[in-house]
Parts: sequence; C-alpha cells; structure tokens
Amino acid sequence: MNEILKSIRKKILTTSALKKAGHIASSLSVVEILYFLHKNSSKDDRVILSKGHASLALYAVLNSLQKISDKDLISFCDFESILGGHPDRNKLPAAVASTGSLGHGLPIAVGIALAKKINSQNGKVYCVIGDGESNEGTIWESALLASHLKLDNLVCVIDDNDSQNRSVTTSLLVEKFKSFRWQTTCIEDGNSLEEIERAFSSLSSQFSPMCFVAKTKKGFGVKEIQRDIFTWHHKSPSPDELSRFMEDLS
Amino acid sequence: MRLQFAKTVYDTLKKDDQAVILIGDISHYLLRETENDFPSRFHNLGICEQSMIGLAAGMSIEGMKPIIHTIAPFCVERAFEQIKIDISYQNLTTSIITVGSSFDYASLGCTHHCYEDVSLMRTLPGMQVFVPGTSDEFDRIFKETWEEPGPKYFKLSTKEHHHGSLNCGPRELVKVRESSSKNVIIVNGHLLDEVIESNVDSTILYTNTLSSLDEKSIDLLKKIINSEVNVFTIEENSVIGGLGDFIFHMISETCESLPRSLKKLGIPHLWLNNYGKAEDHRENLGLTASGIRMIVEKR
Repeated sequence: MNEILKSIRKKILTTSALKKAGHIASSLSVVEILYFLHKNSSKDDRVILSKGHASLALYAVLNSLQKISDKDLISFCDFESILGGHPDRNKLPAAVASTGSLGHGLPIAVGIALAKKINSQNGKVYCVIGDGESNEGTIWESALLASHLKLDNLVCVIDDNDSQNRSVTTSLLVEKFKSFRWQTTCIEDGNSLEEIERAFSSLSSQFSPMCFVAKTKKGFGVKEIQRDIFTWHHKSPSPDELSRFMEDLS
Repeated sequence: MRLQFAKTVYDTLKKDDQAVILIGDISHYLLRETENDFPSRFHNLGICEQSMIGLAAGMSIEGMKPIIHTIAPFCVERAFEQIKIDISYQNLTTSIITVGSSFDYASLGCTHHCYEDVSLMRTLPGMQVFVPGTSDEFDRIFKETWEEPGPKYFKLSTKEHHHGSLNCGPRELVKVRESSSKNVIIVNGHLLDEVIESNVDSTILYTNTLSSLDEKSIDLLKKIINSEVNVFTIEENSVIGGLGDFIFHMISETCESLPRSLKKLGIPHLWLNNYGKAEDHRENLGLTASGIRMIVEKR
C-alpha cells in the first residue's frame, strides 16, 4: 500500500475516533476505488458514492486531493458541519448526489448519463455501489434502464467487500450485470490501486454501460477490523484501539 | 385533462430544449406527436417508477427539467422515498404529473386508488402542490410556474368543473360568490360544481394550490375569516393532510381570529373497498350537491 493510501486510512481512523462517528470498515474497503476515481476524473466527469455510509472515505480522499480542508474534515458530523455521516450535495458539490438510503445513487447516475447524451456533453458518470446495496431493486431497475438507453458513458463500480454474506448475499455480480447487457469486468483485488488502474486503462465501450466488480476487503489495512467486520460496521475506535490500528498501518 | 396534459407537454418541449418527458408506460399514444418531434427528450421508462424518479433527479442535476408522468399511486406512494430524498431533499427542479386521481379508477379497486397523494406531497419541504380543476387551469398553472426552480406536483383528475371563467392561477384563492350568511365553503377541483349546485347560502372560495397562497389570497382569507363564521372545506382527497388541513394551517398562521367552527368534508380515513364508478364513490361519501347541503345545513 502506498503512503497516500495509508495516510487516507489514517485520516479515516483518526477522524472517526475523534468524532465518535462514521462507518470505518466500509470506508476502508473503498479507499482505492474512490482515490482512483477522484484523482483521475475531469471536470466533465461525475463521481457518485451511492453507498453513502462510506462518506468518511470520500472526505478523506478529497482532503488528500486538497478539495476539502483539514478544518472541514475534523468538523465531521458536527452540528453545522458540511460533512455528515452521509454526503449532502448541497453542502459538498463534489458529492454530486446526496446519498445514504441505499439504491439511490445508480438511478441518479443513469439520469446524469442520459442528460449528457441528450446534450452531447463529454465526460463519464461513475457510480460506486456496494454488494449489500445490490440487494435493492432499484439497482436492477437501473441496470435494465441503462442498457436499454445504451449509456456507454456510465460506469458502475461495485465495492464488493462481501459485507452481505451475513444475510442475503448478492452473489455472481459479474454474471448478473453481464446478463443485463453491461460490459462487465472483475477486479480480483479491488484494494490494489495498480489493478484498478490496469482494469480502467482498457475502459471503452460502445452502446452499453460498464461495470467493474472490485473484490475488496471490509476494513482493509487494519487486521483487527478485517477479522471482525460486523463488530466494526458502525463503531469508532477508542484511543487504545486507534493506536493499535495506526501501528498496523505504519 | 389528460388530453390537455399531452398538449401542454408538447408546447413545453417545443419551447424549452431542456424539458424532457419521462413516462411510466402510460399515455404513450397521447404523446406520440411529442415522441415523433422530440425523440431524444421523450423516454418511456417502463414499469420502474422508483428509478424513474432517481433518473429525473440526475437529469435535473445536469440542468435539464424533467416532467415525470404516471398513475398516482405507483408514483407517489411506491416511489415516495425517491421523491423525498432524490427530489425534495436535494431541491431539484422536476414536475410530477399524475393521473388516476383519488378513485378515478374506481372499478380497479384500492391498489389503483390514490387519496393521499396530496397529503404526502404536502409533507415535503419545497414541494409545490397543485390540483387543477380544469384543463385550461392546468395549462395555465403549468406554464406560469415552469421557470420556477424546485419540485412541483400536479394531480390531474378525469372530472373537471365548469367555471373556467374564474381563471384561477397558481397560489390564488379566488372568491366564487360572497354571501352575508355565516357559512364559508372552501373547495378545490371539480367539486366546485357540486358546491354551486348544492345552492347552500354561503360564501364560496376556490383554489388549485395546496402548498402556499399569494399575498392577495391571504388578504382575502383574512377578510372573510372571523370568529362568527363556520368554515367548510370540500375536497376529493383524504381529509388527513389535504385541502382542509392546508386551509386550517393558513388560517391559523395568518388570520387574527379563528372561525366559530371548522369542518372537513372529503375522503374519510378508511379503505374504499367498493368498485363501481367514481360517481358511486362520491354518492357513497356524500361528495355531492345534496351531501354538501346536508352537512352545511346541519351545522
């Protein structure tokens, strides 16, 4: 893991410990995906974090790219903060869409992609969803609509951290999206920036939307969290835990 | 009113190249001219109401002005969370136009009825709620508010009233008749006909807006309401959260004194399990000239 990615993870953990808030396990799994998308997106692109509970990862990534100040980052979840437990587009325009309730980001991304097509505008629309979120019916309605509308400017990235294996696993995501006529690629290690870069370097499609199923690990980078992902789904580290986790990342 | 809807949508798409119509697999025949002339801005999105709302929100984020159209319960009730989060919370410019008002699809039963759409829409901050009483009224309200940002809801019904000369605009409360009696009837939609036909001695006020009133209308309300009058609201919507609650809220917020009495006449808090025709339901609920007369005279 490179130093930037380590530093983003440290920001997630320290902010969560300081403010006693945030979904850190889900945030840690999606760091590489969000860093890659935000670092490489142009002004014409749109990046939506549909699994909005990983907002802390989004804020830490934007902070590392100097799009969010340190002051704003440590205001996370304060009463008047612009950075809440889920992103709000009217407070943080970079979020593009206000998400939180699962299954909302992808339909919005489809609408943005369609508007871009109608108005012959450049840029791609990237939407990050979770494997648990893929339980939602709107994911599959949108999958159907996006291929029907031939939206080859739409890219869905699934943070497949297997968080849903305790209830209803949305298995065979690659096969499912392929059956909806999406050009679909599996990224075997979604916590490897190099693998993500390699997969996206061949990004091109005509008349069909694209999907990357990125196999990630919930809590990636902190072994203790990775071993007990359900305890850490919505829990903040104590000072002792934080120092152990920071050591893990050193 | 549905024919007018198709004409109004056509005019709007012709005038504004950022207008787009999204339909939930209804009214495609009526909209065929729109589809022919503006193919990139006409989309039949099938039976995906929840995603249709999200998709409209996305188009609005990009600066387009989506018009969403389907049958009221499948839009408002099935996709309520999408309307709440994607449109109202994010404060995005969209127009929702539904048909299948209240029990217009009487014979199809409760799954196809929708008495609470106005009540639900009224709970959403920033949502403008309109219940036009005639085709012309719909056309006027829609076009006059088109450039206003934010979300709007239009409830279209099959039946229309026959007092188009009232020419009621958006956010207006208009005086249909003034009487020296202590009764004040406030009505919306086609039930204005029944109120007039009831021949009850009362002042009659009419509106097509259930979200806010303009200053002139508030002045009229303040002038008419005093501690001696009995106010009756009459609507073809649930009495929970509809016209009655809107008017009583406006009275409590703006008038110096409360009326002597308040009575809401509309659809009671019950499932209407019968079928038949819309007229049968109106008869059964007393939403008729004689029913209105009986209620007002009893008070």
